[in-house]
Amino acid sequence: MLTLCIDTAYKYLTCALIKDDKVISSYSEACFKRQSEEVFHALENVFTSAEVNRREIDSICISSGPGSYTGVRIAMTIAKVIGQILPCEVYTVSTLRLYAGNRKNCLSLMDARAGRAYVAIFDEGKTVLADTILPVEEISAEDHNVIGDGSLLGKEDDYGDIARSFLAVKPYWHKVEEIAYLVPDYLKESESYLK
Amino acid sequence: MIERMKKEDLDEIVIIENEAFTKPWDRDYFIHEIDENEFSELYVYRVDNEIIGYVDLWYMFENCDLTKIAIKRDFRHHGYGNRLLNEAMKIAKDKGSEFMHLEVDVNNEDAIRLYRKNHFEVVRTREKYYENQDDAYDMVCGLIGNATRKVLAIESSCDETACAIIDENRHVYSSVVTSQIDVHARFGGVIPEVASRMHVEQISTIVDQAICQSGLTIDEIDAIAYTIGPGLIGSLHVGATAAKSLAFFYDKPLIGVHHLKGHIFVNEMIKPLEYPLMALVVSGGHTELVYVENDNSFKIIGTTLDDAIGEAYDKVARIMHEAYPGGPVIDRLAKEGKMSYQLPTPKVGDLNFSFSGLKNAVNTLVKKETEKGNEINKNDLAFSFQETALRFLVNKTKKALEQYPCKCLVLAGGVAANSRLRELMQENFKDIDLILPPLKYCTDNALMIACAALHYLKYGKVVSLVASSKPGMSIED
Repeated sequence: MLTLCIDTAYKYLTCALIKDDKVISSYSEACFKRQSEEVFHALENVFTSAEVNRREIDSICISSGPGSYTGVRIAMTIAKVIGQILPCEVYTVSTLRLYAGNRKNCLSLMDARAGRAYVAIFDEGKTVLADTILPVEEISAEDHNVIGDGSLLGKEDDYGDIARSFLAVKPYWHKVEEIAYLVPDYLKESESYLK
Repeated sequence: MIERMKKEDLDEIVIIENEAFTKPWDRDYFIHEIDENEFSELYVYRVDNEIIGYVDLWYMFENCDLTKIAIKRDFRHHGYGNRLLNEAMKIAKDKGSEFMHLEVDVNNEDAIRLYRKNHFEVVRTREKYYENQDDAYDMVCGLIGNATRKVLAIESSCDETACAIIDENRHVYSSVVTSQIDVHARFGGVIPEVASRMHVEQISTIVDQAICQSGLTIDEIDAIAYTIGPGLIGSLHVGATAAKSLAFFYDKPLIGVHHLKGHIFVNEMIKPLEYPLMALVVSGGHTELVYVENDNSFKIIGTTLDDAIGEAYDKVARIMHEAYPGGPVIDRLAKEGKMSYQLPTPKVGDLNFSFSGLKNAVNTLVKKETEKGNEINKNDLAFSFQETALRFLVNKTKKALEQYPCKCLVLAGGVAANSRLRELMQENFKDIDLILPPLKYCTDNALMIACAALHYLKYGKVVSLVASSKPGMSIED
């Protein structure tokens, strides 16, 4: 199975082609708020270096949030349109799980602004704390490996090798049954934008 | 036989060059073209080992410029020119060019006939282009597809998600629109984040429906178009990403269309437009008088200095505690009303508009009457506001046509659906070819983007996959 993986949810733009259990090409750069412009350049890059025809893919796997609203929608729009038109299978994975990969006892963290953070805890992929949004002061890094916006907790920011992480979390890819109904996991409701 | 030109060919080439052109290139120039100019490719046409013609092609991104074509004198008028031109077009197409462009002296009738026969169209006249003061035509020909190219277009600039497929004959294969208006009505206006979320929900279904209903496969479509601006940035991103996805995976040229050009060109669904043309563009975000000299030249000669007309309708409706969107509500109330409230006609210089003063006058009037304990007659207030605002629009349009005489006047944009505006236009513009868009084309749709895209395609105006969306784009860009 040949899968195109795309993460545009947050600070990075990552694309990878995974054939069975191997990353055959990948592209990743810090690209905050420029993913919309750069994503097709990155896709071109991974297809060209893998010498693979674009329409040979069997599936697309994307990070479906949480993250920057605009960012999450970019990969999701590509997956929804191509998944439905080509057609091909679509898989999603939580952005927090993607960052965590198969690390042990890993706290995955992302700034949600206004003193809050998106957070989840995984132990070698197993969910310890499911994706949620919490005030930063309620989150403790003690006894955890921290991935993502570590600087929120006085540590280094570190997002790992996102292309490899796509492969690491493959057992947790969620298959989308009805592509038409696929929407991002914003974790914040749109109504919160009306106040 | 057509093959790449070599330096050994130059003895023969220079002879043909000298007999064919009044300002011929010299040998050194040809050597420069062969050795130095990385954009250039020269081909010779050989018959029985004799060079009888040649052509110079410059590749500039998706465009191929035919900078020179010549046939040896004794071989002219035997169809060799046609053969050489066809070969050149094939070479350029195989190289990935999407368009071929050339310049020709307007007096060179034989050449122009040859180009026209091969589907080149005149896109511009360059005055006094040649040393002898002769004018030149710029001619362009698309290299992709056949005479009836098909475009798939996506619109997502505000609160409609839409996809349509049409061809150059304006045959509509499909046009699918879904509106978010019911959702935004709950909030009294379009909330940008809510709009973006609904676009991403709808986008794949809308595109899929448009393709299924068309009975075509994507391989049969020649270009993908989308609204590049103006509009809400988050909404524009969704349509842009969808269009780019199709262009990328199916290897199609991509066209970024200005939303308001769509509103203007959709009038071609009624009949071909004649130029110069005046467009009165009226919507929730725009109130503009646009002078359209030809289908590639747009000049804003009047614009609103504050609120757009549609915005004024929405705000006045809110003052009157009526529902969003305000346009249809006020139009309906006014049908039962009369001119019983005196509202000031906006005073603005030149061909510009202003509606905030009028809106404030309505607000003040409602406050005063309420304080006095008088009940507002909503029908009469709607009538008074609408007459004042629309007559102001009509009078500015008259003034614009005095300053910029035109063959054709078109009404464009969402407010073009207003029944009273349509009546006033018909009453006031009897001496000009007036085109009113059918109601179904007034609100945002993708058909309009496809109509405009065909004009972009004609001029070879394509964008790359890294093109940014432009929320504040001007129609003159």
